[in-house]
Amino acid sequence: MDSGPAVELEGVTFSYVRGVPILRDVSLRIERGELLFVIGPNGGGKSTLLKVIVGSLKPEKGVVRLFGEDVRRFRDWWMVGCLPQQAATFFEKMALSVEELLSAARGKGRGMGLEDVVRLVGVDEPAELLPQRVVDLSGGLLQKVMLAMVLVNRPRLLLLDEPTVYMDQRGVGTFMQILGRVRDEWGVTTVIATHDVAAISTFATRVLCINREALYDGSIEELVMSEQLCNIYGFHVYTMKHGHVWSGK
Amino acid sequence: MIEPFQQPFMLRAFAAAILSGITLPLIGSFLVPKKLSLLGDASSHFTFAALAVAALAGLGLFMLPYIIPVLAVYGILKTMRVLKLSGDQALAIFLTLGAATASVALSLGARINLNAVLFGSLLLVQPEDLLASLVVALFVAGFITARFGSAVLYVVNEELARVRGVPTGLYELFFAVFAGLSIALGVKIAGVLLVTSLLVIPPTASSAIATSMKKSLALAVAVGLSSLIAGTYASYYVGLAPGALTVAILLALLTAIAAMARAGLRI
Repeated sequence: MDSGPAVELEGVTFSYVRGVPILRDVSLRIERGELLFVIGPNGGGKSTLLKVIVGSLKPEKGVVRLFGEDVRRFRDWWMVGCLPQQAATFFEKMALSVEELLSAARGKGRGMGLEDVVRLVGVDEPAELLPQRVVDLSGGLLQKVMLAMVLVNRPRLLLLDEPTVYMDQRGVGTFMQILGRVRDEWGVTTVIATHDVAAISTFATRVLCINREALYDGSIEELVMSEQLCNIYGFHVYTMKHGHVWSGK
Repeated sequence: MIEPFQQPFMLRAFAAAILSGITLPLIGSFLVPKKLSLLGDASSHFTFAALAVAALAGLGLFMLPYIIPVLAVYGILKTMRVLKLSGDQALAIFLTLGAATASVALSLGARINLNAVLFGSLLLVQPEDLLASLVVALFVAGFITARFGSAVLYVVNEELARVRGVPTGLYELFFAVFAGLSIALGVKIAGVLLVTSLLVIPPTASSAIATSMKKSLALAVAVGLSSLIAGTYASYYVGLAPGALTVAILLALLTAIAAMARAGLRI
């Protein structure tokens, strides 16, 4: 279990509707400690790819392995921190406190102290945050709590679906700094699915572009230079590297 | 004052009120965030259908009123997942299916005590119901205590729970069995039409002022329990259905707690 890739997909095909695959013959190898961004248009299969990786969706063809183990037999879920899309909207109509949520997410007998993990995600006064109700939190604090929820077990693999969607550029910077720190300290493999190419352009190393098939897998610099973005998004994409703004029409 | 406690049927009713007053608000606290508030309505209509069909066919009831709502709740959860329906869609389908089945059985000549089935009756409570209620209450309270974190994750989001290693299929089955059973037992006191109030009003009131899920569960049980006991007690004197009296008390408590919440009070 200590060597080999963190995530491995071999010829994975998945369809919601029979005959219309949303992922077609996708093969992918994510090494331990790697940071991978999955980009692509809406409906291109980013979220589906993440759900297939954690076994929430079962592919009709192909194999998915987590740390060398077939995902159908994988049991060490503490190793995986997974944040579904719009996770922040799950908590309506519940009087759940931050402390209860983080305790629930933490595996029995393992994981970090709740104050430690809250401090890790940039909250200065953990004792004030923990007794608060999740529904009463502001957007920014809620994002931090969501991140704390996936980090609390000291995972080896992070899968984050559109985690920066409501953040401004400064928020994204802080967020990526925290992820960078846990990657350095714990060697966490990180996969981030996003349509927000602007937010990640300065942080990305390896980028996977997906629109039903894996269309590009490589560095962001080469991606920007190539014509691949046009093929993926179906329109011309202009990039402004220094302003971190990408736009298309 | 103590006269109601000297009647054996009232003692049975109080015992049933105490057990349902614990179980229904506990189960309801997990159903409301899952947007399954009307689950009680949908599955109790299946109890109604089961009673009507059994009466029509001249069958002994035996376990039927317990098994049918369990199957209904499991069917609702399964339909939601497989057909990707929202909770209210699945509940509407099952509610009408149960009501239509009961209606067909009644129009074919099934003879049942409609008033007791729809609005509850203390006289319906039998010793075997109490035993079943006790087992259900112990299981529900024990499960929530032992698996609080996993149950919370299951309610918040099944996908999130699955990647935390929660066996979501098993939890679904557990919720179906115990929600179905507690609703079947609650029907005896509150009736098909009012049992939902015991599932929904206590957690709605408590989550307005509680600052944690555990406090919310405790307050929901306190609200449900006190309403049921007071409603059952009052029904002996005023000769009204205990279900209706309980609902009136629940609504009064909900109004009072909502006013406290608006005034900024938290527990």
